[in-house]
Amino acid sequence: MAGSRAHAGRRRVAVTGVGVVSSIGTGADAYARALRQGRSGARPIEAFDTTGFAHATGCEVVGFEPERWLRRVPVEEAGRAAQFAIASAGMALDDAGITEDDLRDRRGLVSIGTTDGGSDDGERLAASFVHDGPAAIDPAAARRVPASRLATGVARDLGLADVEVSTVATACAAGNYAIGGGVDALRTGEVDYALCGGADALCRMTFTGFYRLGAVDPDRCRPFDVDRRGIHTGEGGAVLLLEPLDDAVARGARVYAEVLGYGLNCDAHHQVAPHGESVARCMELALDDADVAPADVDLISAHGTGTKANDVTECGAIHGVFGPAGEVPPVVSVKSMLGHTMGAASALAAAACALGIDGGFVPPTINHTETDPECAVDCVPNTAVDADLRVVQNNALAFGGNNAVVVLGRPA
Amino acid sequence: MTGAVITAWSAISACGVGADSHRAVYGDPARRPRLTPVGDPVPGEAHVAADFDVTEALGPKGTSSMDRCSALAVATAADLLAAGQRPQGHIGCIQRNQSASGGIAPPSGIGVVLGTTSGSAQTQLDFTRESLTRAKPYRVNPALMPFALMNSAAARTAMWHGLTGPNTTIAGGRMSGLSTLRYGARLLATGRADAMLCGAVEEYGPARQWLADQRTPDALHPLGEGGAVLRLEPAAAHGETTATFGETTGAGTPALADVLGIDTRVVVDDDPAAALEACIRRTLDRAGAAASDVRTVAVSAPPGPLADAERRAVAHTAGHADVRDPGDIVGDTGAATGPFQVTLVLERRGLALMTAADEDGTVGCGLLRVH
Repeated sequence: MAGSRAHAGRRRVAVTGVGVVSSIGTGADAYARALRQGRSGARPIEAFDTTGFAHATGCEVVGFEPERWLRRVPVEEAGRAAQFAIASAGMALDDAGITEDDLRDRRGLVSIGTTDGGSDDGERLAASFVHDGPAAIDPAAARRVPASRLATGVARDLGLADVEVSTVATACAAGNYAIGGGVDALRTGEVDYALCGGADALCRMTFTGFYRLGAVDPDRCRPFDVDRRGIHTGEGGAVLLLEPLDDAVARGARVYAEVLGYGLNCDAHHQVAPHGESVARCMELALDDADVAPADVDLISAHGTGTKANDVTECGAIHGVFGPAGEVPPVVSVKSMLGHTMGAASALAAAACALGIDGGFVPPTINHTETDPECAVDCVPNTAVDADLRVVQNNALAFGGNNAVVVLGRPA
Repeated sequence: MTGAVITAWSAISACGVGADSHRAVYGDPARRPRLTPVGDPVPGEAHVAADFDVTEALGPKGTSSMDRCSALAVATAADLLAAGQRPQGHIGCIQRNQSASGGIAPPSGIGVVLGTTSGSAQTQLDFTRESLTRAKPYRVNPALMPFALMNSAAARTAMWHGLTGPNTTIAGGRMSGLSTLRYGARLLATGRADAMLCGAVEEYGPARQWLADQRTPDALHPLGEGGAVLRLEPAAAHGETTATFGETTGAGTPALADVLGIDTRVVVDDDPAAALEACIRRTLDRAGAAASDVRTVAVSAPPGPLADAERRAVAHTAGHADVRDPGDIVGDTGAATGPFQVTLVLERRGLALMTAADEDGTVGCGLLRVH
C-alpha cells in the first residue's frame, strides 16, 4: 500500500509540524482536543456589522492576539488573514521542534491558500469610498489588500530569504492547492522544506454572497443532514511543515503523516455548481498519484459545506469512485465544527486528517440528526470514534470548478 | 533548465488585441499608445485597453456581470487555443459542454495558471456598494459574487474553452509572471498537465486607481490595463510534435523560447537590490551562462523606490544589455507586468532576463533563451 508500485524512487513527503488558528482551538494540541470533543465554533458574528440580516451566525476566532505571534512583521502591516498565516506557520515550526535558524541555509517554499486575502481590509476601504467618496483614504489598509502578503508575510516574519513564496488564490480549495504545490516542489528536489496551508479572515462580502445565494444555515451547520440549509462562514488558518520523509526520519522528527499524493482538475462547467463526474475524476487523480486504491482509504474528509447542492453532489461523486454505501469509508465534515473557513478550509481539514492519523481518531460531523438518504454516507455523527487510520483522503471543491484532493497516510 | 518551452503568446492592452498588435507597437516607438484621461470619480490618466469591449469580444451571453479581468483572460487565452480565432458572438465551449454527454468537457491535459494582485477590485467595490446602499444588505446581484473572487479569471477561462486540466490562481502581484511560469513548468515536469496557459490580467477601473494612489503616490508609470498569456509546453514533447495543440494550432510550430530558470527571494534585510542580484547570479550560474551573454533585460518597474533597486541590481549584473520596460508602453499593468515583460524579450534572440520586485518584499528573475 502507501506506496511505491508506480512511483518508485520518488521523494516521499512527511508532515512534521502542525500549526492552527481556529474558532475551536489554537495550536495542534488544542485543535486535536477540540476535534475529538466535537466542539462547535459557531457564535453570533461580531467581525462586521450584521444589521439587516435576519440571521448571522459564524465561526469567528475570538481572543486572537497578533502581538503574541508576529515577531518581525509589524502588526499594522499584516491583515488579519496574514496574521493567521504567520501565527500558524510559527506554531508549525515550534510543533516540529525546529527554528527558523535551522531552515536559514536550506531552500524552502511557503505557500498559503486564501479566498479573500486582504479583502476584509478591502471591503472596509470600499465602505469608506461608498460613504465618503475617494477622498477618504487609508494607505496602510490599502497596502494590506494584496493577497500576496499572506505567504510573503510568513517568510518575512520568520526571516527566511531563500524561499519560494506563493499565495494561492483558488477560492475554497486553496489550502489543498498550496499543500499540493509544496509536495511537487519537494518531490522534484527544488526545495527541502515547505510551509503550506491556508488562511482567511471573516469577510462581510463572502457572508453576504452566500446569504444572498440562500446558502447560510440560520441555525447550525449540519453537513449531510436531511435538514441542512447551508454553510456558516468561518475564519482561521492552518499551516503544515512538510519535509522529505527521509530527512524527518534522520533527525528523529515526529511524523504525523505522510502526504501520499494529490490531484487537481477543473470542472470547466459552472461558476458555482460543482460537477459530480469531474469531482470524482479529481479523487481518482489523487488516489492514482498516491498509488492507493479506493479500498485502501479508511476515511474521507469531505469538502462537506452543508449546502444542499454540495453535499449531494460530492457524496454522489464519492459513491461513483468508492461504490455503494457498504464500500464507502466514513465521510466526515470538519466544517460542522469550524464553519467554512474558505481558503483555510482544506488546510484546517488536512491538519485534522494528520492529527487523526497520528492520534488514532476520526473527527465527528457534529449538529447531526438524520442523514440525508441522497448523501447515504456514514458521517460519524456527533461523537468522535477511535480508529486505526492508514489512508485518509481530504477533498476540496471551489467556486469556478477548482477541485483539489490530498491523500495522507500513516508513515509505513 | 525547467524543461519547459514557450510556444505562443497573446495579449490585450492599450496596444490593441492580439500578439500582432503588440509586436507592431514594440517595434515602433512612434506607435506607442497615448494616455487616456479617466475621470469620474477618481481622476487620472491611464493606458486602458480601449479596443477591448467585453460584449463585442465575447458576445452578450454569459458576460453581463462578467468583470473585465475575467473577460480579458478569456479573450487572451482564446488566441492560444485556436489560431487567430476569437470567440466572437458566442459563449465559447460553455453551451457545447453543458449540452454534451455528461455535461462537461472531456478531460484535457491543458491547464491554466493566472496571476493577480487581488482580483477584480471594481467588482468587489461594486458588490460592497450594493450591499451598503440597498434596502437590505443582502439585496446584492448574486451573479456578481463569483466574479468578485480572485480565481474568477482562471476558472472562467477554463469554463469558456473547456480546459479541465489544473486551474490555479496565484496572487503574486508583480511576481505573477515568474510565479505562474514556475508553477506551470512544475506541473509539466510532474506530468500533471501536458500544456499550461500562464499569464495574468489586470483591469482598469476607479477602484484600482484609488487603491494604487493610496499605496504609492509617486508611481513610476500611470496605470495600464491588459493581460498577457503564454503557452508553456514540455520541451521534449514539443520537439517531437505539438501533440497537445496539434488539433487547434498546427503542429510543429517552433518553440519561441526555452525557460532556463526562475529564482525568487524574500527581502528580509531591507536590501532588495542585493537580494535581486543574488537571484540573477544564481540563475545564471545554474544555467551555465555568463552575465555578459545576456542580451535583453525586461524590468518590472514597480512603483516607488523599489524601481531604483531593481535597476541597480540589473546594472550590477547585466548593465550592458538592452533594458526594456513594458510600463513605458502599456503602463503599469500590475500582476500582468511579468507576462508582458516576457512578450517584450521574445522580440530579440539570445539570452533574456526578466526581473521583478514587489512592494510586498519579494524579488526574483527568470532567464530565457529566445530562439
